[in-house]
Amino acid sequence: MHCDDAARAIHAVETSPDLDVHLSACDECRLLSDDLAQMNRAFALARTEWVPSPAFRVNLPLAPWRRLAIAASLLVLPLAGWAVASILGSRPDYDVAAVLEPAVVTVEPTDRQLLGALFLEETR
Amino acid sequence: MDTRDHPISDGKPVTEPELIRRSKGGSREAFGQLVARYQVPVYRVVRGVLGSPSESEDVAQEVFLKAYANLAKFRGESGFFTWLYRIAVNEALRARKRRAFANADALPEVEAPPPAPPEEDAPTLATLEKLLRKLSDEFRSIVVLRDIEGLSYSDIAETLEIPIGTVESRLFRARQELRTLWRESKEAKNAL
Repeated sequence: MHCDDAARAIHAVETSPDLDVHLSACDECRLLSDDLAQMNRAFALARTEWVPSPAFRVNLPLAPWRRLAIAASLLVLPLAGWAVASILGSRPDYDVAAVLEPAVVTVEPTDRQLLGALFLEETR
Repeated sequence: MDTRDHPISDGKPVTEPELIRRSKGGSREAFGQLVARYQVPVYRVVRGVLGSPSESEDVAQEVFLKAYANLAKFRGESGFFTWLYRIAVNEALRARKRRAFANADALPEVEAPPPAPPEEDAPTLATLEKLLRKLSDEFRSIVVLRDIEGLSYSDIAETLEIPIGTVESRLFRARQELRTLWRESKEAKNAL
């Protein structure tokens, strides 16, 4: 096996008896193999240690329709308040009872009065 | 892409395509499930490509916001995760350019103090991070997607929108360069 072929096999993390024979005889390729093995250990460390902090959060923006609903509610509440205030503020400042006709008091006739009226009616 | 089931509040398991469909319909909860699933890999890609732990969370957040805003454009022709990774790589590269542009007018960046020498002659994660920063954008992106995220060549091709042949050759050259940097770093350490 030539050094170029060995290097390609080492980079591709391939194993073969030919490669083993070559590595046992070639210092340069053995050094390459050792270096790549160490690099692979560092890559494995990166896989486990490169993690975001527990406080990591993705704050998504609100959906457009939700933003519209919030804006509408923010607009509606002051408008409703203003409408109520304007109705209360525009009421006339006079006594309504004063312009109404006095109420007619109706008193229910007693039994004695009813009987009296019937008696008068019959004797007439 | 697999279609593993995801729990959602109504108790029924929901597949990933269904989560995507609901997210497109404006369901923040469904998109929240997708975020929960992909926040770690997206963060790793951003951190690997950007090379800055302090900025990576902000950029990862931007990735998800961008994905949420552009979800209607995702037609499902590619895998959802390759689409998301594409956004992550692009946003990380953009943030890196922004930072480089900002640093051009600012004071020179102070190099972090070298980490304490490890017990054994093994490379540390800090060394890897430092050496990744020395690679070009193209090489760094492909090494992160393959060697850290473990994507297949076809998924990398889809993510970076390049042919598979280019993936193979670029990855080979990227690893060669990283290994050269690695060796130089080790020899410099040994010389101390």
